Amino acid sequence: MSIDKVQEEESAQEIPLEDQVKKLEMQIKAEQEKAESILNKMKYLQADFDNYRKRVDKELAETKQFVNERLITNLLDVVDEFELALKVAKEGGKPDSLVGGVEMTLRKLLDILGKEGLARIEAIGKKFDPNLHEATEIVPAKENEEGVIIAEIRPGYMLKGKVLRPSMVKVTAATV
Amino acid sequence: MSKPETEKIIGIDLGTTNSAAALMEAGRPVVIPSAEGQTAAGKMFPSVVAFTKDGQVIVGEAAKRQAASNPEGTIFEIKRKMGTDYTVNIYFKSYTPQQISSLILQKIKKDAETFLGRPVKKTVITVPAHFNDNQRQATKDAGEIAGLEVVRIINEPTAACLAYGLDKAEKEMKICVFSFGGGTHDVTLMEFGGGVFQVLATSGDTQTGGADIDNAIVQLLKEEFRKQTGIELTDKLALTRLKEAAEKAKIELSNLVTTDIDLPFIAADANNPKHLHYTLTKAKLEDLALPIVKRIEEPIRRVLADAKLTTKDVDRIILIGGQTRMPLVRKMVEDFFGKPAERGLDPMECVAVGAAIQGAVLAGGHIVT
Repeated sequence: MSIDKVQEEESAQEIPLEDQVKKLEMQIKAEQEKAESILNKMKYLQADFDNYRKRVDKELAETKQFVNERLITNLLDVVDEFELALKVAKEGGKPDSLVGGVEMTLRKLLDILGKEGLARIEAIGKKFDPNLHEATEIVPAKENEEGVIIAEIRPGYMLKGKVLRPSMVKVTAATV
Repeated sequence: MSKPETEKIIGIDLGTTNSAAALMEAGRPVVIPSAEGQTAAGKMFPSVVAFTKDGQVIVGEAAKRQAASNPEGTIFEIKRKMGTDYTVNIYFKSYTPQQISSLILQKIKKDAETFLGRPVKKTVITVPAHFNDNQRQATKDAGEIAGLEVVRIINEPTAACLAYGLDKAEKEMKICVFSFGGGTHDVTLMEFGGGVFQVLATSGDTQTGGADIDNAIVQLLKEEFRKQTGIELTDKLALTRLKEAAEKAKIELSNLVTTDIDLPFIAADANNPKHLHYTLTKAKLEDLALPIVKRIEEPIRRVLADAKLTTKDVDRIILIGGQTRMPLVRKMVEDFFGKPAERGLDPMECVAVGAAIQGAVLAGGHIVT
């Protein structure tokens, strides 16, 4: 038996048994609390992790579905510009062959984008829907014809059902 | 496992122009995306509420889109009216600012629940440091109307400090929180000590923001086009294209020295289509922005004077709001104080993140570090 052990036993003998029990009980309580707190933390982490995993799965599915979203959104400007070019060319009486060629090119571009899930939002003649359209100009409405789109200033597009860009429209509204 | 799940407290940055929400997940902040998806304002959405004649309530991006066709039913910037007797009268009904704000909060609650896949009940909402008791109470009421238990209202600059972890510093310090958003800017001088943030002074200008810089670029482009072609650009489509190009160029020039703005077929005269081509340099952009950015110096001087402090007394500088991403704005603030500002967090999300951190602390020690 080492000297230390002897001293420990001696000092243990000096402390009344009751106090020793109390001390040990307190120690157990503290340890229990610690364990509970760690368990709680673990539960929170587990709950967070479960949610995180669910969300990551969902986000991954979305990412796969909308992998080209940014590229296609950026290409919308180019589509617009082609359409503007055609409009100007037709109004300016440019040669049919040139106009026809550009039309074909635009059609090809839209076909490629369409295969990726791009669709033009319907506007003219439709009821204005702020989820799809943005009202940029207002014209006074005749009776019972409020909220109808009468002109499209810039077309809007959806990708697989998600609005990439709302249409900019001219809409009828009651005069205030 | 149900107990931890119901105790999530989300942090909400209920802004004048845009709002956002965040929460802590496994000890890290996550910004909750709004249902309309990523927009120009990132994960934030416009603090706009609309009532339609047929009784629908629309909040966020869609509310903004229909504003022109329903001006009398659309409410912008209700935050400016919080805590006042003001009522909004729409289609024979009247609403208090709390009720309007509650609709914004309801949308956030719904978006958060969709994101998390479970109910959200508790929240921490941020308010400007200058908000008085009435305005704070009104914000709290708005939360309750939305079905949220507002466990605490905290100051926006305090939230920003929490986001940067300044509360973990074990020393006293003075902090300047500088906010520069789309339409307003403000400055708050704070003191941190003994675990508490205290506002020393606050000042601002509700009329100067980042949109002024975009407008200056649009004006420059219009002027250039007029000089080249003699045509004044006025139609809606041309102006929208100009505005979008200006915003894009401004963002690109945060990292580049020059950027090309190309807007073909922007107009046409009797004979020919006209195109706009302009190479915008960073130097030119800074020339345009400088008079606007300079205006932010005045409120900084004012808060320092009010708190009887000098730039040397300020230990930390925090920048919040989208416009502080512009290198010129950061440089101006850093030059003014002669020390670097904090970096590393998205200045648009930082207030919501700070509120989420506060929420996690109040939820009870489940911040895992």
